[in-house]
Amino acid sequence: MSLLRVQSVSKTFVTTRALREASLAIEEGEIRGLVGENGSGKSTLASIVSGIITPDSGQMFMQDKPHTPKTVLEANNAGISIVVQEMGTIDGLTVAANLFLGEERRFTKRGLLKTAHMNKAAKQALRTFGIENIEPDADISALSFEDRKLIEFAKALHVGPDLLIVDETTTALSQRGREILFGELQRLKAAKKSIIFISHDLAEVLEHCDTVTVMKDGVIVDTLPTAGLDERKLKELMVGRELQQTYYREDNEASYTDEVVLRVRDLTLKGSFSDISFDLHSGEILGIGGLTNCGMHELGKVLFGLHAATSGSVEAVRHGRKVSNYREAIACGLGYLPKNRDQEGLMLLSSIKDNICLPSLSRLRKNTFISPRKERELAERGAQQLSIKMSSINQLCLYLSGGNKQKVSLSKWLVRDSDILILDCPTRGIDVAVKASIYTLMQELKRRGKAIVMISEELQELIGVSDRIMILRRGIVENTLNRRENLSEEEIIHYMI
Amino acid sequence: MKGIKKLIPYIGLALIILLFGVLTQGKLLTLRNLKLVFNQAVVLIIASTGVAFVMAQGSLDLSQGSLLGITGAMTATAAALHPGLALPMALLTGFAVGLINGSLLAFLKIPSFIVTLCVLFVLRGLTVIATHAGSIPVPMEMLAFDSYDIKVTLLVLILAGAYYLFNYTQTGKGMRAIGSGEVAARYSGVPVERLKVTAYLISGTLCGLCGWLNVVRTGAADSKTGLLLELDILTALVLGGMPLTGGSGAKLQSAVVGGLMLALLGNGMVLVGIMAELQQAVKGVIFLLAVYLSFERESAVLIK
Ligand SMILES: Nc1ncnc2c1ncn2[C@@H]1O[C@H](COP(=O)(O)OP(=O)(O)OP(=O)(O)O)[C@@H](O)[C@H]1O
Ligand SMILES: [Mg+2]
Repeated sequence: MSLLRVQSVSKTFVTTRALREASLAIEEGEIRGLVGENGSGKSTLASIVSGIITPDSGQMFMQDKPHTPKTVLEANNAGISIVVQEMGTIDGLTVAANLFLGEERRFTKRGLLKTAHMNKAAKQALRTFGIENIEPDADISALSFEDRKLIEFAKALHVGPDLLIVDETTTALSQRGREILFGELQRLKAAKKSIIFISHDLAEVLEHCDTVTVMKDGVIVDTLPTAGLDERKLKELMVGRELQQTYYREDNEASYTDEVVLRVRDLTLKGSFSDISFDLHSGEILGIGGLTNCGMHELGKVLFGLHAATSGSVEAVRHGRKVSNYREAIACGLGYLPKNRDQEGLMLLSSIKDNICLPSLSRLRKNTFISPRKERELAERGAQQLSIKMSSINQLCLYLSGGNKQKVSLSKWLVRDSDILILDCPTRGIDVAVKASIYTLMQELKRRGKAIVMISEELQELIGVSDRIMILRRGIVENTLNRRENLSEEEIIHYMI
Repeated sequence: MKGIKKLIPYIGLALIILLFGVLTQGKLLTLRNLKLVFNQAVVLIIASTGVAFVMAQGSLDLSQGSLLGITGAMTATAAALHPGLALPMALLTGFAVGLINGSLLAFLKIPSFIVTLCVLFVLRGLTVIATHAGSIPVPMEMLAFDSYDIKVTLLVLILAGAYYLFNYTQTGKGMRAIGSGEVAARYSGVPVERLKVTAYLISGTLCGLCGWLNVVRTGAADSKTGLLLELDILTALVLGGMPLTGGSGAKLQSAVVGGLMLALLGNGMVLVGIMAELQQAVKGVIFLLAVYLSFERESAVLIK
């Protein structure tokens, strides 16, 4: 008897057939990988199983009982919980309140919520998952993206699920977070629970999953055991054709011009990082790596002028100007791709066109007039360049798949022809094919003399594309490594911790 | 379904015309009555046009009723010195109040709802003081400005200018971007604080103009002038399809369609002979209905 059976489930959004006659079965104690290109329907399938949306047709069975959840709570009761791809926590509530959302009754006595009681339970729950640094009464919006994701994870586990769905979560996590996550997954498996694990990191899927299901264009292509499968084969199944082998850069040497475009001196943000100095050159890709709370994400925001530095300076050399706020930064040709795309990167309730054009409006206008035709052309060009999967440029970003949102968020700086790009986790949630094309694009930009700061938690990616890698540890530059042939992950980790 | 939603305001307008056209046996549509409706609608439409910029950002402006009152009082006082001072004074008062509203919101980060509600109370108090709880008459010669030609010209110019600003400039697009997602807009280089103030300057100044129009029409500034106007404006905009959250769904047409709807509704109810008290109740119900029909429930979680 399978734990979960899905039979010919279909779902259409307006005109997009996100899921067509999908069928699959999950066994007890199985870790099932779910892979596929951006927009192939993975999140849609996960949302249907976990009660977030309802299917148009088809049937589902949980332990042979019909499974027709209309809400997440109903799915919880049937033994299914999910960690969603995008942000699933609610701003303005405490960690504990988020953790026990919908369960307040457990802590209520005569109509009063016993906060202390709830906080204590929350603390316990967090500690059992090895999360030591988060306090239950903290406001959740003050936490880092990673910590918020971990809390969602704790919340999903807290339900005590027979089937846990993890949708594209690991790319939001650092090494530490990933260890916590995979540790818990193994524990669940040992207890005969099952997991559906959605990820674009194929190595990770092959390492941790027993079986893997491949989706393409809303159809389930195949389900295979991971034993005996390699990344290349999996990629081909996903993309449906053979892929070029060059994924990262092929050269083994740092190469950039002498021209400094961004000069950073003694930059300090109290509580995050201190005394950071470096020169960014035209044609250079500077990788910045470290643990997630080493200050690198904050550094990105300060470089772009979103937070004022406590001391130190950022100078756009070509413009001979110090950058102290985001407006100046953009005027000096900087662009910034934030990690938290749903809140910082995109206006979800606006169209793809409006999002892509926003930073470029000052370039599109003639006197004060902005021609709708030029806007359309710009957006079409941007969408095409990154092959964004959409029904039209007028589609709201809210309805895009995770990876396609990321593309829109990146596209707006590409069409503005920014000279200096600050990319915070640029390939988060992006599928292998697009990842490859983004790396190619970065090299193309490099050739054209653009400069890129790439903040990343993926060591492979740092090694694969950077000319230099600056490693931060507790807010201080621990070392800067040049690109060379035998640079290893171990060496980088050594400086990180 | 999406397409139909956009048409709801127009369908509503047509229904109101049809309903009251029949109920009043065509009296609603006589030229004389239409002129009356226009007189009532013109202030509402101009003021709503200004507030549309504020609402596009996802903010509210509830200070308009009292602002109309205080501009009236200031205008009448200035006109007593010299009739030529009346219009500049009206515009200046509106501009100043807009500046205060916008600055409190943008720099002190107080929610717009609170800011403008407080300003509403303060200004009403000042209006009562300035008019000695009665009314201030204006020089007779100013009544000459109460002509259809002037009003129609003004309305057309304002609507054309506002339409251009709203739809085809960086300012208008930036304002709607703030409504769609303030953080993301800022990260894309939109000067959030500046535009927030600008929106209130527009809405304040246009309301100032309305204050002047009102004085030249009635010949006096009264302590009760503009009472509840802010709610009429809000109702008109929502009836016209303006989303309460602002953003990319915001349309300037809402001000015109909604303003006309509300004016026709008010006029129709008078013609049919519905009690004044009941008229308010009807407006309230219609407001609720409009919000219900237009509210984007799926995206409600994203609204702060
Ligand atoms: N609410 C919605 N309304 C309209 N279209 C939608 C909606 N949700 C998803 N889609 C569309 O359905 C398709 C499948 O989306 P889905 O989110 O399942 O992809 P995914 O496989 O999870 O991709 P990714 O790897 O990028 O997260 C996409 O083309 C997407 O644009
Ligand atoms: Mg997805």
